[in-house]
Amino acid sequence: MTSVRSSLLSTVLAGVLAFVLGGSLSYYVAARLTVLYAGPSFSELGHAEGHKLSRITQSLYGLELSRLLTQSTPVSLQRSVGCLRHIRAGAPPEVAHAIDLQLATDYSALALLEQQNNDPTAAVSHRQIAASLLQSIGWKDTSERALDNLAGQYMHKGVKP
Amino acid sequence: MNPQLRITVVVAALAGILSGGILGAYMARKNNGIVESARVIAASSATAAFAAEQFRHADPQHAREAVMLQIDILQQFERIAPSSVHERNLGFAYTRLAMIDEAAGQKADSEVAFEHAKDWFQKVHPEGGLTDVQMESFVRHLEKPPSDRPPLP
Repeated sequence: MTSVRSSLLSTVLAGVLAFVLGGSLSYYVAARLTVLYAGPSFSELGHAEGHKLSRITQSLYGLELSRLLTQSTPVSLQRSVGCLRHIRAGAPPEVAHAIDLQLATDYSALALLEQQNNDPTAAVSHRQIAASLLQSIGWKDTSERALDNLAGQYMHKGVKP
Repeated sequence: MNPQLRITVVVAALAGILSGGILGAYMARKNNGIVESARVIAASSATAAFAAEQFRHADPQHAREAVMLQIDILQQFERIAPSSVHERNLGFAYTRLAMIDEAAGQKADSEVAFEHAKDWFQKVHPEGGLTDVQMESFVRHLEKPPSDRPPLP
């Protein structure tokens, strides 16, 4: 009786183990294959157009994430600048100006913080980068006041202290 | 290994592979859909914010480019999945475009853009048409910080 019970128990345990191992392995493989061969996003637009829109939205997604997650500290803003430069390097030309605006905003915010922390040299340098980026996207006023307004608005609205 | 145990292991493993495979493919598809939706929302928001900033601060050519980027992306989203949010945003984007063209002295282009704006607003509010002045005042209203906005008529 004991031997039958033990045999039944080991059969059930082996079955459960086989089910879990086989299931886990095939879950992982199926998920990877589905992601790999799912085709481009927005495939309703056709391959070329869908692929282009996919690249554009991917870059803008990175831009929005950077904007949402950045805090008003020099470290966080520097990290955001690094991320945005990386996104810009791989982004389609259509969205380059949108990324440049966010880069300029981050540099302006950095400059504002550096000025408050008595580091005028770094503040001037970052303001110059911001001004040059804004000029490249057609801004009419790139004065110190305009940059501080841009930074202040951003830090007040989106970037959490 | 006794035959009973072998059969149990093989059957259980096959059942596991089948159910794991189906679940894995389903979850991956679902996650792809969630990521795609997040990208659509992010792209709409990023282009709207960019167009608004450029409209306020940039020269007409760059402001126009920013608004055209927003319009182009929203129209592609509309082709994939029509939504009243995109339609309303297209109405505002075309109004901005009309205002830029009007300020640049491109009267004919401005009128065409106002017509497009009306068409998009009409889709969201089929019962009542908006005049050019009303559309402009909506855009100007949105340009102000929330604290400075007077109540709309």
